[in-house]
Amino acid sequence: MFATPAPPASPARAPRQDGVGVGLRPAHYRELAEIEVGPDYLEIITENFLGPAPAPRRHLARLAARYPIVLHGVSLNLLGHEPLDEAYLDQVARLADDVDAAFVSDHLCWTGAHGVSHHDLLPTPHTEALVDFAATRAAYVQRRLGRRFALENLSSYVTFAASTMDEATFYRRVVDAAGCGFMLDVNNVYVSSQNHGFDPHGYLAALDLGRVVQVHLAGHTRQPDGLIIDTHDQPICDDVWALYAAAWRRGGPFPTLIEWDARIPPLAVVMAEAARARTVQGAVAEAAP
Amino acid sequence: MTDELATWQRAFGAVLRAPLARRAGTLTPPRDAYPAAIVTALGGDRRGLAAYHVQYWCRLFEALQHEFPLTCALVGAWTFNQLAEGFLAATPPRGHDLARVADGFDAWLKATLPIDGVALPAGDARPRAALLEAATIDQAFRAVFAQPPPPPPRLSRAGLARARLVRSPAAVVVVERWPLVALRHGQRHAPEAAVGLPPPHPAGPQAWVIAAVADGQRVSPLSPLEAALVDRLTALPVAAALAEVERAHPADAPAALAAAVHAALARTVELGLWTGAAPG
Repeated sequence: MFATPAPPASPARAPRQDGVGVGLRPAHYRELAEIEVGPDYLEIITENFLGPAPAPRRHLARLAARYPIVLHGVSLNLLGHEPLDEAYLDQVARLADDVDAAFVSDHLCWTGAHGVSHHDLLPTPHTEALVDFAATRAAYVQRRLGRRFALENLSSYVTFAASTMDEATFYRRVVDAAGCGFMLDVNNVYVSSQNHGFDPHGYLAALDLGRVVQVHLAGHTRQPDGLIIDTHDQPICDDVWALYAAAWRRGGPFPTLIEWDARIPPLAVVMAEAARARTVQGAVAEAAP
Repeated sequence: MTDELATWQRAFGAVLRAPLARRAGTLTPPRDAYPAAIVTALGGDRRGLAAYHVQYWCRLFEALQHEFPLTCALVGAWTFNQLAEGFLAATPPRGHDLARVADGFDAWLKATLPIDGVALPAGDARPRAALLEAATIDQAFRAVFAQPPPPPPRLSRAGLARARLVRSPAAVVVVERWPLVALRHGQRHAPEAAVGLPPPHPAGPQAWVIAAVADGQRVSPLSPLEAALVDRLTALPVAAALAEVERAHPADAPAALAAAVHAALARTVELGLWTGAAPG
């Protein structure tokens, strides 16, 4: 109903289909510019490069000369009640042009309402009406940016009595109707499955993994009360690696990204996680019939 | 659809923005006080709602601590967060740039301190003054961070005496009574407890220039003569400013003083304080 053909990725600047990238964080600017063998590509938090400060853009320009760059936003507010912020979309489009981003992603969530930004990725019920609402807006964003656009599934800590479908169905239907891609966060699938008691492998089975534009991997924290919080502040756990292997077996190859956003370790630690992703990919390939 | 979303998001947002309870040195989500309609919509799940509630405040506290590290160090994270909470309640975050949630915090502190219930370090007016000085310094670094380094100013001798120098937005002068710029340099993480306030400068206030340069920011001390000259050059045409500074600094050797003032002028240019000159 809403789908339009997805714009192709810019081939010259696209990450390799089996590439493993890392999230660009200021602590690693210098080392990433100088390291002999770096990641296959970098993902930036879009909003970190939209402000007036010249220093982040200067670092980005330097790194973009060496690495493919993709954009990952946290403020689109796709499921917010207010109209999409056209000025923000203008800025994102300019930044994507500047680094020739192969694709742009953001989240299937709301982040602000009534003029207030909550700076968090907040869930909604999973309903028919919101499938249409989200898909219409996601399709518009993809057309507006003129680039492949992908939606990320959330880690969530609540469910809604008003939901009429499970999260995987909601996610798949929005992406299908919008004609965009999945930015599948495997850690988020795991976190939500543990918090809400569903089968994470069933979640993967419900998606068309051929439409995955990128996969995210990250660490999380289990609170004393048992709730798992998507903290991105530690190594990826074995269960998430196993889920990643399952996703790769079902739908790989796809570009993979290691996210680390708090208590950021030396780059070597993040690169070791990237190496482990390649090991998992290799193990899946070896085990294939 | 959007009406339903708007209603839900207004109610949910109000829960997030409600203050966390302060109990025995920890911030606690007031789970029992959550509105029944929200809790019912979430199938009774207060634990998950509390997670979002805590996350909202912690993310904003961290953003403010990052933007005002010196201010945070002087009072410690616990007290700083209490100040931040008051600020954010009065100025909820708007826009997509997390760093900009701190815009206006220094002015809010000036207008608001002391705040009932916020325990500032011991006693008299000195800590309040130091805290406001720290906030001004933090804000100066923020302002310069947002600016590109300017091109070298175009200044020619012809007509300069009657011209006014134009201040660069990429260079800010701060004046400190305590050695706070040095203290800020050492702050990498928000300390839980307040760091000690060092003794004030024995020789009187110290001025610094914080300026945007190609590879970041440069912090340079100003001598008293240079600081006085910057102050006057900001208000007066060049010749009048030079004359006023020379009058205010009587010397046994007027020629030497004039040379020193001209050297001071040259240094303020080197430090990037001016973008050019405009007719006086």
